[in-house]
Amino acid sequence: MKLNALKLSRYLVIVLYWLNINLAIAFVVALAWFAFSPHWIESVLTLKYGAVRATAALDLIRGALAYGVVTAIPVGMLLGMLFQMIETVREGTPFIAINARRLRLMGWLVLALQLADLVLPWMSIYAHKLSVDWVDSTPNIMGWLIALLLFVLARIFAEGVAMRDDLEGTV
Amino acid sequence: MPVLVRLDEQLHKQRMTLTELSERVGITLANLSILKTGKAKAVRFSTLEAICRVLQCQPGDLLFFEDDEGEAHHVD
Repeated sequence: MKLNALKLSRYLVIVLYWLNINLAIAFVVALAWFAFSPHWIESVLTLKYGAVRATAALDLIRGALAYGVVTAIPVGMLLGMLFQMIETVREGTPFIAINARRLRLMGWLVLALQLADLVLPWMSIYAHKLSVDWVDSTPNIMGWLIALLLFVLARIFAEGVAMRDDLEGTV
Repeated sequence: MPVLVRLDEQLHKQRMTLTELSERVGITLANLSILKTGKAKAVRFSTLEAICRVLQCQPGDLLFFEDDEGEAHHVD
């Protein structure tokens, strides 16, 4: 049962990792497209919001895409480290110093993502001000808790590594 | 390590091989070898008890403390 959960997590992490990369690539392509050939998107936005609001709406879309590209980096790192940790569990050696370091770094990355999330409400406010259709994001307390959990887990892992080292030479 | 394990002497006294001891105490040969060669960092009381029972000796017959000057002291 445990092995199946691990296998499932492994596949899920791989899928999410590639999905994240592909989304980031799509965002970069869209940004490049809007930069070099903005006529199509400008005409669509002008038709919907009028010429004045269309420029601001395009800036907002560019901002959201750039946000997606920037945050894809820590998300990719998180998923990559999670995959490596799952691999150490599969190999039967999860209590190693590098996993404690990985967990601590993951805590910092989640914290950075939570800080980056603070930009989203400002985007929402701006979008409402422009009366542009926008998907609102709600403040997420879980992310802060997960960051805290990761820091605590990192400490527990570090203690576990020290205990394992002690036990290694015990007969 | 200043604490030395003198398993050889007790094995010799009982005319027993390490493999035989391993079978009788239920500790793997690999772990007993670690103990014998002084590579162990710690010994469980249960291990000591099992060895002492089979070899009919005291923990002090197995463990010796040697200080920095190389003088050996019996641990009792």
